[in-house]
Amino acid sequence: MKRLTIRSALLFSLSGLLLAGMTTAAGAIELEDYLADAEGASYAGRQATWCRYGGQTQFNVVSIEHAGSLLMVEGGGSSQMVGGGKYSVVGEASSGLALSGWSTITPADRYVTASANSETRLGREIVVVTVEEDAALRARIWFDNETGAALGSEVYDGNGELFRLSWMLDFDPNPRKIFTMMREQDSTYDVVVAADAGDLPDVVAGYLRVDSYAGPDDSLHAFYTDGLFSFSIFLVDGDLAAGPFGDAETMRVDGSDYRWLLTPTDMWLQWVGGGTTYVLVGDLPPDHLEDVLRELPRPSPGNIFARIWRGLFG
Amino acid sequence: MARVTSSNSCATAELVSAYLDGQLQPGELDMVVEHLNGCADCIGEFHTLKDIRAALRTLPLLEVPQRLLPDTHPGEQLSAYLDGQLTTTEYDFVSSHLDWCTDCRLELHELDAARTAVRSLPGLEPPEFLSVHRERIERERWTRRRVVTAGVGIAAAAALFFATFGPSSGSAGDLDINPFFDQHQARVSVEAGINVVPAIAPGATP
Repeated sequence: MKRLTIRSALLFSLSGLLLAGMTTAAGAIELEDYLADAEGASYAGRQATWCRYGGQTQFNVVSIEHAGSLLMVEGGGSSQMVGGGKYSVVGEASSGLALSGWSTITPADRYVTASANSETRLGREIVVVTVEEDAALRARIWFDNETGAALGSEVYDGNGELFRLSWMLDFDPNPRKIFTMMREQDSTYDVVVAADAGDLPDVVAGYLRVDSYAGPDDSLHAFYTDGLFSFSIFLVDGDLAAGPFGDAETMRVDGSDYRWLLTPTDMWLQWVGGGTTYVLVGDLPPDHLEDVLRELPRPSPGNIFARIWRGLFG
Repeated sequence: MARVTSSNSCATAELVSAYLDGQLQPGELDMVVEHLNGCADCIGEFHTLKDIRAALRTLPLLEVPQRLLPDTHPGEQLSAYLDGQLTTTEYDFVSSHLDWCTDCRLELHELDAARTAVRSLPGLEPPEFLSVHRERIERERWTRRRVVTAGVGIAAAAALFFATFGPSSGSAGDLDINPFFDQHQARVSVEAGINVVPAIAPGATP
């Protein structure tokens, strides 16, 4: 794991100060500790996730097992193993991806831990951490005292309305299946190597570009995070057909239209600008997303000659 | 060099040649030296062989005349040589061959002259009756061409209309976001943020 360069860290800190104003870092440090404990926790259970945006609602329940930094997700007839920069589908050989490296940062200074109160949920002693941004509620996260696991979370949009909710329906501090799966898992991994990020900005609306990789199908993959939320953006040469975005609704930001899809966990956006197809996926709240889009390359009007050529010759 | 058998009956005589070649086996050297001390015939043979080898080494090197070499004339490559259609290697070979081969130089000259003659032939005028036929054929062809052109124009206009204003299904390629999902998942797995929720791909059903 590589550390951020001093230049990048300075840029990020400066951006945080400019965008969020003067905030105390003490709360962020406390939040960082909770999140670090949750990342290394061991537990199992069923998790329900709900998300609402633009009149759409998505809901899903999956079985998860978390052991250390490794997470196994069962749902939709398949099992996925995620963790340590690797992703693979259980039972499918040669289907894995492994990152060659990555950078980490702490939550941005704009987030402040407003309170940390004790509660009892699912028969367990937990602490609920309230995270504010600009003195407005941004998130609440419930952490299990014994294991450090995050039992639930709520994310709010810029209007203070609930955007995403996640809760464990049942909780077992002793994961079992994941260790069996780990032994049986025999994937070989395609290594994802680092790549130059080109003209993509270092900081976008308080999100720092911490890594960039060679993406699938000769695309470029840049990963941005503010330490609490994150998103990936993929750049593909050419004006590709919308694929799953074909019937998607569009959102307008500063006069530009973006196709979007909602899942219980993420928002997906697609647009074309300057002969490049952009795909963005992330768990950031909608108001952050709009700020991000304002600072990324915009969609450009369709090239009539390109459409004519495509129509004639495919 | 092969071992030479001496004309006499000495058992070690054949080792003399090997001695001169430095090809004696261990133990044979002592035998030869001891034998040469007492055998006048072998001493004479030794000196004879030595003189022959010295004479052979001083002979001048002979060059084999090209005419004695296998047939390596360029043949059909000469035409390509004139047309400038040879590769660099082939061109070098033909050029160096032409330096010494009179036959090929002559053949090249004749080939070039024949081409010049063909190019300088006058054009042939068709007979009168054929000219009348040709005018009629030209008129019919022109009419047909105008019809075809009009058809192509209409088709092109229609294609342009549908390509521009029709549905945009025919594009450079389809966007498959599943590989993006996989790679995003791998990266998010090392992110210590609020992503305690495992990501779900669009369209996935539990």
